[in-house]
Amino acid sequence: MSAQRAMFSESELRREDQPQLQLVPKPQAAGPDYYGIPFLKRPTWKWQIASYFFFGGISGASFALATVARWAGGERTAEMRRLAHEVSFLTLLPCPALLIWDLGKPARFYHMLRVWKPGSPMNLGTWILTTFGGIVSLTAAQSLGEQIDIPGVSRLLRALPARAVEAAGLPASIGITIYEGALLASTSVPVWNQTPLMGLIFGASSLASAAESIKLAALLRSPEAVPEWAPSLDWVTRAARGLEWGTIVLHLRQSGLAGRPLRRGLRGAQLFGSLGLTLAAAALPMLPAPPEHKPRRALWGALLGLAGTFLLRWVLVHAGQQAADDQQAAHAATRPTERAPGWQRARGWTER
Amino acid sequence: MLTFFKTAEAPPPQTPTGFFTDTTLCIGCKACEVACKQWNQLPSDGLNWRGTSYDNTHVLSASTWRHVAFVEQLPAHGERSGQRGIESTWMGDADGSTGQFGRWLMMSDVCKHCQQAPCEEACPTGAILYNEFHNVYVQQDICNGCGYCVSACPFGVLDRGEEDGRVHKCTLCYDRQKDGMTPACAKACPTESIQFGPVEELRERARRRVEELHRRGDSTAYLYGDQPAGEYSALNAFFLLTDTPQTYNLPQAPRRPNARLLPNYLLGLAGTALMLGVAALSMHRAGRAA
Repeated sequence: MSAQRAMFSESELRREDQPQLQLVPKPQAAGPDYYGIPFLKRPTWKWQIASYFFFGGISGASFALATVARWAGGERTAEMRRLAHEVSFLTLLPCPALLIWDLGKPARFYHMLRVWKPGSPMNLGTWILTTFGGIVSLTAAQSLGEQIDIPGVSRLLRALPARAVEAAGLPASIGITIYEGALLASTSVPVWNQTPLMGLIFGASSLASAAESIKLAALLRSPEAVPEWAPSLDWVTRAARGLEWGTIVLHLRQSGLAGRPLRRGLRGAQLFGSLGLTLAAAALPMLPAPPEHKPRRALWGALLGLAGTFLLRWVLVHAGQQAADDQQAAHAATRPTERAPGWQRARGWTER
Repeated sequence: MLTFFKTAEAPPPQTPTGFFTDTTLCIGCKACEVACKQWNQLPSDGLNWRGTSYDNTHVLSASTWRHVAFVEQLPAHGERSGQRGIESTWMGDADGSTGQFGRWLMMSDVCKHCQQAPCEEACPTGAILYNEFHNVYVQQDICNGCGYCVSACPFGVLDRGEEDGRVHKCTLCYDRQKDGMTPACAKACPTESIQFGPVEELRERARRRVEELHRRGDSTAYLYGDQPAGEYSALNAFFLLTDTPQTYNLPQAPRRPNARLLPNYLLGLAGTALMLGVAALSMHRAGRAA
């Protein structure tokens, strides 16, 4: 020991003589964080939730478009309205199964409904989905009652005021598309929570994909001609895609370093691919084409747009994994601000 | 099945309790980890050495509810650190030729039991609640493993167990507290680095400790979580730290996830209303033109 001590003079070892040797935070050899170990947990959500966001968004937005079609389009858009209701019903079918599949304890899915807790977006979403499911089933039954005559039941269904049912379903249908984004945003995952834009991204994206789904349904039913009301849906797609991608770019810009997991690597490539697919889908109907090619073009356009939307849902959900692992992004997302100063500043910490 | 829709009467509220973890007293013995595992009958995680420190658990998880972090601040070779103080450690070679000063920071990490906990706000089943001691508690008979609290927690505390699909975390030894006993980790801690008691009392004690440390020249000591910080609530399990929060793998300034909710809803509604307006306009034109 004495041999080692001799390395330093007597005064060096006595703290009172060393005012310059203050305990101050300084860069350490180990690095500014804890051995690069992420401090956030990876989200548990995988492909089931990405798929649910895709189908749920289409279902909700299709219903909303059907309601608007009845109010604004009248009888000329009656076919569109019927198709929209069918799309809404069919895309809603896989949703409960996907949501239950994702649970750690699937048999306990109904625990979601044991409380009314609107402050929790997932609880609110479950109630919205349940309400919406009831209304969509009712509209589907009504539509079935119009086509098939079941004694007694059909009369009962026809007696239901269709407009009132649609009006009741409208808030729930819009709610489904928006809460999906808000659900991701109100977490501690940096790539989701930095801006108030996730609800908008999901709302716009759902409307665009719903318009494409309705068009796809029409073309699958009668592939020989593009329906005359299709251009009105194309306008919805174009406007919604513009809003969607404008908002995504804004979200990435505002997120700064915290948005890195969405810009780089596999997720960045997927996001770019999604942009390409949806842009191509929006551009296809605008390109000049001989009339006989138009239905096929429209079909491909709708398919590309839906593929792009699915890819977007996939990226947004799965980027949460990379975001939780990227501890630099996570620390950037929790940098002290005026609204969230943290405790280090609050206690008069002096940085050098 | 219907039993879950019945709610039992809540026990009468008691004095809020919590932990004060004073990292300047921690010697890294991991007795808290062992005591926690033993009392709560948690499975082993294996000895997963990373080759970076004596930390073999690395993070809090479904089966690790106390985790001792080992921060080894050793100066790079040939450089002498100016850090000397309570934790300052002599790091000399056997022959004494390259003697350097470094320090070890140890922290026994645990669920922060936030007073306004993001996990409780996120939980869609009501499985997560504040018990009568105002501790954040996961009811294992209710949790359905949706995983929302896992993403909500800004400290990465909650974790879904792979074996049973439910979320597990520190209960602040709810069972022991009910019998008037001290939580296992605090009981086992040999240096009183982990202190358990009524939160108000702990805060007083912690502030006195910081003052004492400052008086003794350790000007870097501060409390992490003893009071609300902007939108984020105070923590019922708070810490005394002597370096940046990142050093201990804690977020500098956690955000309250639910503060993002309303702006997301409102902007989403506004955008959707706008787009439905576009739809109404174009459909109206289609209805007339055709």
